[in-house]
Amino acid sequence: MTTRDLLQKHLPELRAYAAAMTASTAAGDELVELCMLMALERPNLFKASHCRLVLFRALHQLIITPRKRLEADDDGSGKLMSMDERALVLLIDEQAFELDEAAFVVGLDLPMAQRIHRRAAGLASRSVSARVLILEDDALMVRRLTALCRKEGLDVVAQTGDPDEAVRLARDLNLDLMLVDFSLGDSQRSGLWAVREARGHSDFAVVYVTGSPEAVSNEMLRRDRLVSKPFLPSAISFALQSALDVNGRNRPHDS
Amino acid sequence: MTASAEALGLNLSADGSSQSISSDLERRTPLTGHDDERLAGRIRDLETALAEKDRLLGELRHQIKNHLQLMANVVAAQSDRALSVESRQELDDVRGRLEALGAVYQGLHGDDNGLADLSQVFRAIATDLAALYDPNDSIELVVDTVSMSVNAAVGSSLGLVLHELLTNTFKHAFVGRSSGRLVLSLKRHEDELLLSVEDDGSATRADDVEGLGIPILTSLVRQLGGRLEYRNDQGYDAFIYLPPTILSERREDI
Repeated sequence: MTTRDLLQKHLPELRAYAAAMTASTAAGDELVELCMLMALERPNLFKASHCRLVLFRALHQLIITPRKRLEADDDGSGKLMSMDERALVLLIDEQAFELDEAAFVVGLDLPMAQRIHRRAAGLASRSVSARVLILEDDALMVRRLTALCRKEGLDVVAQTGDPDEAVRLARDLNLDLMLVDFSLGDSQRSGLWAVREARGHSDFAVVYVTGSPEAVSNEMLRRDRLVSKPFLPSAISFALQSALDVNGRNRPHDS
Repeated sequence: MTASAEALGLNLSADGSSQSISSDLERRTPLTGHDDERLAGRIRDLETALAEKDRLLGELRHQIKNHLQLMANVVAAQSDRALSVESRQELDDVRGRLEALGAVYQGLHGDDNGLADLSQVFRAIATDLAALYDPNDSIELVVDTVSMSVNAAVGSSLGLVLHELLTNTFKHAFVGRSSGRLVLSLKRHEDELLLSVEDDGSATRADDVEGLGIPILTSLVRQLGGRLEYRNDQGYDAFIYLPPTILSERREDI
């Protein structure tokens, strides 16, 4: 098998990994392409026996280099999943790497990798959990909602306070659910606007959080769910599960 | 209200709610034929003021709800950073209390004087605590409550009272047991209202007096003019007797 053939063979899984790590197919593909160019330049580094492992390690380095600092803050708070956590879950649970291989890819020693993976697996349930985007501009609310999503075993793949960005992210992320502040910012670009716009490209379940429940029509509640502020935690849990159910997006998880 | 000057000024019985404004005006302003227009203008002003008052009240209630949510979020964030299990637990208890208050405000009807149905609020709080402390549904929760309207102040006190009672029960009654039964009831009993929480779990609650829950409970019940009784035979039961004067009538009930 030539180097080119080897690379071709691993391309789909590399793309899947990069897309999940960067939360964008386009950004992911760019890095995969870069990784491929590197590999073609140094064919002796990517021998058939451990080609997959080395490819993943190279790709992982490309992914984390510009992001590490950015993610470090969230890591400390323990809320949003850190890059290491996300990577280990993806590598072990989705790409079927052994723990020591995954540790090599991420560049961690074995006990540390094991600890982080165990924690992450507990946090994010399984890799099959539903993918959630949170559209909310209040930082404290984002933390709270993220924690509640986690408790339901959902994977919060992205968060933004900007409706335009939410539409872009929804297009790239293959979402199962959007958790939306209904009356976000100005009326031109509300949470509702973002949902309508994004649903023109892809389909997903929606849970609105709002302080003005009267603004939400009955028509919308046939498939979307509404939680009024101030909420009880169970109201969020119930709305999330119910919205996923109605939209046929509740995947069984093996707990 | 869009009733015309004729309907309001000259035909006072047309609309119940406008009658008081109109008759009030009549007393103050002697009616002469050409005062009709001024009268109509005055009614319009009052109606505008009334609508503005309603709007401001609505806005205020909205703000209170937002702030309760904000406080709960702040405490949750603090709890995430807690260094010990104990301080985390304490902060989570505080958050629970704020959320119980939130549930009361959530239950306030926007359409009248801001009254909440206790039954609804109690159900929400009970369901929420059950989801928290008994995620696997191993405890049978029976909620038997009748509709009762209270204002925000009474509702807040009773929301907290119920939160403390149920939290105690969930935390202590079923330790080391795989099943149990918890009955929450709210009803009229002779001349009083009776709120009770009964369980078939452990009859001793050594920790209770140490915690903040019981002191909060006792003082809130006293403040409402009620009294608290405990019995422990098959489990541990709390009975709270309250005077019916804490209830408020809803507008349509009057």
